[in-house]
Amino acid sequence: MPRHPTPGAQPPDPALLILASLAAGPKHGYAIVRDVESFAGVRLGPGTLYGAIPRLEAEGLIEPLESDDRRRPYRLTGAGRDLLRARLVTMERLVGAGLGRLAAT
Amino acid sequence: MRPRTSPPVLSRLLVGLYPRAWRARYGDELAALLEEAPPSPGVVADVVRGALAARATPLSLPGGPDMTGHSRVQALASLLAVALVLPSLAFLSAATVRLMQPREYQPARAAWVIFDFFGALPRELAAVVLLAAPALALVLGLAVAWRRLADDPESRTDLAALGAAARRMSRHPALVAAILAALASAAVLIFAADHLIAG
Repeated sequence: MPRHPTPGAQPPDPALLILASLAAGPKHGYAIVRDVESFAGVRLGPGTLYGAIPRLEAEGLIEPLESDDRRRPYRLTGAGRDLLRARLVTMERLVGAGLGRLAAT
Repeated sequence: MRPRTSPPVLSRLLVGLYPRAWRARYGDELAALLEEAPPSPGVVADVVRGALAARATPLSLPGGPDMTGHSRVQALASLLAVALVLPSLAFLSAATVRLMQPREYQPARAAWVIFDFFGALPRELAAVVLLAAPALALVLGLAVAWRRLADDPESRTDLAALGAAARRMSRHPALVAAILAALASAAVLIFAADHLIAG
């Protein structure tokens, strides 16, 4: 875990997937798993998800919301949003450069 | 509010693999997630891996004590204390066991080998192994325990519960005597069985 559909491809960083999922709004664990599976084709295992969530929370990138349910929702913090944007911009540059060079050869 | 249901046995077992402080914060959430879909072998492996990682690198939980650095230092100090005290413990055990049987029987024969090994050490080295190392282990052990109790309220609660249990037991001397008698009997039976098997 996480499982990725492309054989041989490195699965994306679970933390980044979680941040990207929460960018659309607060979600609890199961909703994150389903959302990530729908937009990235990666099924995060429960151990992987709850390995990343405490780290992200400790780093102040996500925060828990009050809940009467055992399924506590999380939301992105300002720092989490900034980090996600910075990582995605870097990835976008890399993707653009890489695909451009592949097309030129 | 949704009614709380008892998690299935497998979910509870899997959540139980995580450290207690981790479970107190995230255990219910993980159990709820595991209950959303029946755990497959892949999910079980993923959770076991996550639990091992959580035990290897404790996180500082928001609002909780900073356990990251302290826990690693405490774990290393504990391991060092055990390593320091093991040789002298082996020596004392061997010195005791070698007197319990004739030398040709096991475990007395092995105990004599260990005893003779330590007896052949130079005086200065023996003093380091048998006196200085246990003394350092004692200091390390007390320091780790003191630090842990100072940092971790749960450990203080556990210690208080242990003290309360000991006080309750002391009010029932017959129960204490029965437990000690059972333990002593088990030790004697094991020793006798070993003696008979060894021949």
